[in-house]
Amino acid sequence: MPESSDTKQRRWLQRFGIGEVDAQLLPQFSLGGIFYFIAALLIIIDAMLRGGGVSAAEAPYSVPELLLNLLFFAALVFIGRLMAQHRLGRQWEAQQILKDFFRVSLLIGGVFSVLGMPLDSLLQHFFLARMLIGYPLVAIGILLWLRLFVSLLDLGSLGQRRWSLGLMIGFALYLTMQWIARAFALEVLDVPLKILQGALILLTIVAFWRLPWLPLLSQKTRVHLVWKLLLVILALSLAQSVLDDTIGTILEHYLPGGTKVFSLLSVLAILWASRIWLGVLFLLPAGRLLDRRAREVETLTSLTKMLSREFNIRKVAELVTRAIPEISAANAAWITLKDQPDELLSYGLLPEHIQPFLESTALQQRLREAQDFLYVQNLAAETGLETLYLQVGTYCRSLLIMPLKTAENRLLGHLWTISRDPYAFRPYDIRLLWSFSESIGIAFERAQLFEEAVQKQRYQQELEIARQIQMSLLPGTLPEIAGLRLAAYVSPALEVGGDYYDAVQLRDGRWCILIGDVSGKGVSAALYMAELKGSVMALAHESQSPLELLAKINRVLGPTFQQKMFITLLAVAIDPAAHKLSVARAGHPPLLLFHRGELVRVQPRGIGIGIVPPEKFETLMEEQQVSVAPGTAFLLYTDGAFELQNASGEDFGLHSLEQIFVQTVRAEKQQRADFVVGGILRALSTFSEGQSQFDDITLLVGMFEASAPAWEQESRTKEIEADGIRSL
Amino acid sequence: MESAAFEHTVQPLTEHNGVLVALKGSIDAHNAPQLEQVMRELIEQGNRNIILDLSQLQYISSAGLGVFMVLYEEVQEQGGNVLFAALPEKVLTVFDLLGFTQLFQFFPTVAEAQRYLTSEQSEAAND
Repeated sequence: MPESSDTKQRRWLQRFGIGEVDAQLLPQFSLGGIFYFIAALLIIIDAMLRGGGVSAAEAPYSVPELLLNLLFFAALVFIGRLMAQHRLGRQWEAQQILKDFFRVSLLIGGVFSVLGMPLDSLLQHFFLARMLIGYPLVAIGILLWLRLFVSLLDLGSLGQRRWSLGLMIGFALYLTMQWIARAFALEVLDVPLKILQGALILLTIVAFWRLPWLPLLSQKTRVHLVWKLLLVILALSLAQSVLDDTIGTILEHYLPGGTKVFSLLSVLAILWASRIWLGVLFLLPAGRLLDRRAREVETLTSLTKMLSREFNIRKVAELVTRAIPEISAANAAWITLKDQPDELLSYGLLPEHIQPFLESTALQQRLREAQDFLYVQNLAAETGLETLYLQVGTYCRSLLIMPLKTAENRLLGHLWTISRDPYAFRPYDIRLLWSFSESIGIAFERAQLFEEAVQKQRYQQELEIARQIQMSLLPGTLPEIAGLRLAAYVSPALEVGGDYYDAVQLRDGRWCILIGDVSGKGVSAALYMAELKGSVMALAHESQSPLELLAKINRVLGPTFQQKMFITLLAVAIDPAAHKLSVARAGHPPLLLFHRGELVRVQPRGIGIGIVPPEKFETLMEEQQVSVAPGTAFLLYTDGAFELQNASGEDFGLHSLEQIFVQTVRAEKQQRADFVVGGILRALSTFSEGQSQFDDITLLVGMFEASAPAWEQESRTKEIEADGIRSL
Repeated sequence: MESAAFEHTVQPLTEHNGVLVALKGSIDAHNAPQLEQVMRELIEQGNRNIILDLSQLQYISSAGLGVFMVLYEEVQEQGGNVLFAALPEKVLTVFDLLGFTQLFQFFPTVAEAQRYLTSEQSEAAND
């Protein structure tokens, strides 16, 4: 066979309404077709040889006639089985099956009535017309009837598949019995045939009583169905009437009992069509409503989906107010929020449109009194408000207001829906909008939470950047000062804060170490700290002494401070050659000095920066000189180092810090300042047991290098000697 | 850090044209504005002399100290006094470190603070 034969075959089958056929069924259809047409041809030849009887074939049939009919019957059964097998194994849409049913019915009507009826006298009187038109027409017609039968089974399987299967078996039985009864002229079978006929009609009615698929069709399809089904009924009725004419006589040559069988099939098909027609007719008035419901369900589903994805309150409101006129009796909708009474959330409405509603005291009063929702059925009659015109085409005669609540029943705002008709909202709308407003409330709450989370995250990112900037304001490395080892620690605090330390050179070249603390917390403290850093950088080179530096800082910064704001600072100038420290203190906790085995609090008089005017500040300040020696250690710190508390609420205290400092310095044999810092931190950490106060701490340790730790006068000479080797 | 809380009681000192304010609890950055509010109201009511009884004060942060700075300026302008009395050692240390002891007057007991006011008034009367 050539390549294109497949498509050609398919086209032929489609012409018979068989539709898409599986590739493996194609050869079987071809075989069946050839078989069928050979059998049909043989019958034509037989009829021709016997003069092409105009009357019905005489029963009982002769043996050759019987054999021919049997052959044809077998071919018919074969093709019918293929059709049924092909169709019933698939899932079809109601619309598609109906379309198929129309096509086959109209084809039958066309072939039999339109061609058959006017040709009847021609067929009856002219031998050649019978042979060339009548017989081939009936042979093709039989195939179409078969298709009709299968199509009806399809229709039946849309509803009650079991009944439709029963119909198929019953009908096959009827066909066989009719064939036998006619072929052998067995009149005994007449009664059982009549009973079977009645049973099949009954079965049809039962099988098609319920049409569950009918409401699923669109209204447009249903309207089309009404007249299409009328056409089908007409076509089938005409075709049936033709069966009594010459066509029927010819049919009996092919299929003994065929007229009865096809007449019954027509009756069944007309019954089916009528039932559907009636069903559609009853559904038509409610159809619009049904369609609206279907559309509403669709809109609601897609809306719910969108609501769950949308995190922007304004967009949520737009989606909602746009959708409500589609799913309910409302003509317009808007949302007001309790927290932002001035804000109107709506699609297409402007604030001035709804102003009269918000200003109506009667309405607001009723809204406050309403238990859950408020339904103003007739705005003019109930509130005395005139019909409110919002904009062209949108005016308000009835009003339904739904609360928008969170999952915890907190009122967020209201959903306003209005209609241009009084009494517009029916219980259905109220139920729908009620459940809808519940979803909106939850979506709003979610959107709010999301917005807050985003803002919080943004804020935290900003803070993180601020923290990084602040950390960069602190010296990365401390200067190398001959004979002095320095180490600092600043807590890797989670937030920005006001702790500060630095090392700068004074005018005379002395290094000055500073530690400071800005009062308060957070961003404002951090900004002041940055300002402090700037002024220190600018003023250090102009200052001769720590006291002068602090006084200058106070002069510059003090006036810029807000009330209640102050900075504490401790400045220590180092003079290694003279073995001397100069200390000035602006309200900061004292310098701790461990010198020659003794701990000294170096606490010159002073007051915080920004507390009093410059003249007064300077009178309250003093500078203190302290001697140092190789091995002397000192500690600068912020109050976080002694104000921390442990889990049981006990304070650490300055005294404990002093002790820890002494212990750590004593234990540190390598004179490593960074080890001392580490030792103090460990002790603080142990004390606070992971309490969160461990955050705001800055420590700065300095150790004067010693060939031998001279202050180590206790009984540990051996260790001292051992350590002495390490000296520089 | 859990937010601190403080309580305050105000007792009028009519003979001194002022009030005795007792603070109890802790003052930090969170509740400092609340303290400021209390103090401002007292000043606006025309109280020139304020004795602060801090015997029950457990903790005060830098933000709390800032409130007294404002207080100092305003009372000073009106020619009044802010007197601190009966500070626990720990709290006194904080005031002292910052330099407040050079600014305000501190007394071991409320009675001594009152005596000071009495003597000051009599001095003023003598003048």
